[in-house]
Amino acid sequence: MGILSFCNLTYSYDRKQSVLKGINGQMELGKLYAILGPSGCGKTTLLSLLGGLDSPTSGQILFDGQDIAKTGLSHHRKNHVAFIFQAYNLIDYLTPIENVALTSKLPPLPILERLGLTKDEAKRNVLKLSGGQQQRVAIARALANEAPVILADEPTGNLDEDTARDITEILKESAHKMNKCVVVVTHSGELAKQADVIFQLKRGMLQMQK
Amino acid sequence: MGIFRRARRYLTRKKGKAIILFLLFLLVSVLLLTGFSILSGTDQAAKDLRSNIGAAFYIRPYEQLEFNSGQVSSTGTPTITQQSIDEVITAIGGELKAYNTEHYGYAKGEDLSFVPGIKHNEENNMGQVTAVRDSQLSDMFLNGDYELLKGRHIQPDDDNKILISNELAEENGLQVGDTIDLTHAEFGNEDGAYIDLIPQKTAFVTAKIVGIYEIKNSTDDPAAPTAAKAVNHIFSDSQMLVHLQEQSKDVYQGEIAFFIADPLHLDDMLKKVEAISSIDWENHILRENDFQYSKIAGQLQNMQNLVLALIVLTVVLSMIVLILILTMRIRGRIQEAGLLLAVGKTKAEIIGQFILETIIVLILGYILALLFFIPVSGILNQVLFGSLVTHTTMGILQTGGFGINYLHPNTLHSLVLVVGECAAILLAVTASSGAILSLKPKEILTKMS
Repeated sequence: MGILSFCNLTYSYDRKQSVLKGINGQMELGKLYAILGPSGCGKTTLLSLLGGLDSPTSGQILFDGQDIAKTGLSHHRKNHVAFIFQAYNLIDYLTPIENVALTSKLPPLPILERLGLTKDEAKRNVLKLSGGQQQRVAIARALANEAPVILADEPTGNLDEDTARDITEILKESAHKMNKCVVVVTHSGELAKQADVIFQLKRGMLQMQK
Repeated sequence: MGIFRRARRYLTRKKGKAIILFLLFLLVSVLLLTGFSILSGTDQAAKDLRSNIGAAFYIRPYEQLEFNSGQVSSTGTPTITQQSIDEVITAIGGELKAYNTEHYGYAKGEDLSFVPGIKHNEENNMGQVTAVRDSQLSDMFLNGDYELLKGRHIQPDDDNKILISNELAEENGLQVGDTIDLTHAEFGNEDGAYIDLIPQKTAFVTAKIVGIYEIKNSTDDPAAPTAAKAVNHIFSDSQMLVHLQEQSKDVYQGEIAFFIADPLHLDDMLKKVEAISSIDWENHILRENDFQYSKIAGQLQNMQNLVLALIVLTVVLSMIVLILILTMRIRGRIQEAGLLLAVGKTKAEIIGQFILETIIVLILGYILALLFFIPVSGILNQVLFGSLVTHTTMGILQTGGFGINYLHPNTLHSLVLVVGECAAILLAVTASSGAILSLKPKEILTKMS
């Protein structure tokens, strides 16, 4: 049984336009998952449901066998999952160390240094960092709270090829070496190639490709 | 990282935003402190004013006239006894500040030359005597028409003590502390000549001059006889006229004045006094004097109403401006709110941080407003209440109060005000955040993207 699973998951906007039509799936620790699909097919919606940012129209999402609707979405967000956004979403009045400390149960600096930031950069205003550095801070924040599941929405979408490659490597290492369940919504073929499992979302249905 | 540290980081690193909010709170706090201080200060000033200027009422017996065969003749002036006065004092209770009695007569002195009036001769060389319990409570001194120049006033325990005018003292070379021999007299008119109706003198006193007064706002009629001239007017204690057999002990034919502490209670007092049956109200007049309290109180009430209206206006405008500023600020922080929700912070925690930041700025603004207002309140107090004492005519009956700073903010009021401002902020932040935080986290994140 996976750490995160979902069954008969449906989601519709205003109960009319159905985005997810009773999909099922299961995700395990130590693996990198990629969710692919055309724009507007519901990838980010699925990620939001898995992360407890929204509730499904019907169906269940289970974390470690327990329905997250019953244990509480806020509790799920706080303890079970960590998000990485395309736009980094760092708090601009906090330094990288303080951004990581928002969720951290571990000392932030070693995590940031492991992701390639210097001590000086770690204390700088986040807006003075490059896009790649900001995304590293966002990843550090996700890793720091020791959540077993990392949900990343287009994490390399705003980055150049070299930086995107570095970030992909970090996500892969997080899954394989840190035994996290990393779920990535992406359009990037390069990132998808590195995934252990690829889900294709099309017309509200989810298919496993790899 | 807890909300206290996040709030501190926000305020220290978003200085521009914090300063704008700080200035707003400083301005609002100064306005509200001023408004509420004036409001409570006016209330206190009104109480002090009432207590200081007080009020008075007078019982005056009036001459009884009789119409007989087309002729008008006097049947005498009724009197009021000490027993009736004591009944009035009992009816007033603790409100009584002082009272005064008056009785009238004439006096002559063998070695005393009064300032001559018309048709002056040795026989009508006399002056009018007003025997009082306390001369400083006499209308002439209260109104400022007469002013004590030297010595002291006649006091309730005095016996054979007098006040004379400056002119009479100069005429006879008298000074405070001198004694003069006086006898009784009664002013009369016979065939156009002014005479003494008591030719045989049987009563004599030796009176001591305890004070000399000056007439400030009164001029003698050039056609007045010696006995009617103001400069020949002698104020004495009640005992002296009793000794001169012109007054029965504890019986008064003049006006009795009662001074009370609170003008607001004047009407109630009058009702109680009118119910006293030992006074024949058919031949006694009851009159009142609030020493213009109602006029001054009206002005204070107008000021209170105006200040109250300004406070309401300030509160309403401040709340509108505050809600607008906070709404813009919080909308600008939608990304932060979405992110904090995504990392598992609760909505209460996020609103709590916004409230905490705002309250910290408010308290700093309030402290500065208080530090600024304390010295300014003295100047403002002088402008608003400084002239209050000059409007009162009852300076001698003042019990204090004037001279204090009515606008000095007291601890309780300051605390209530800051708690009120915190409550307003709670409301404003909740209202401003409500629109965003009523959304689901995903909707916020959609707005973010």
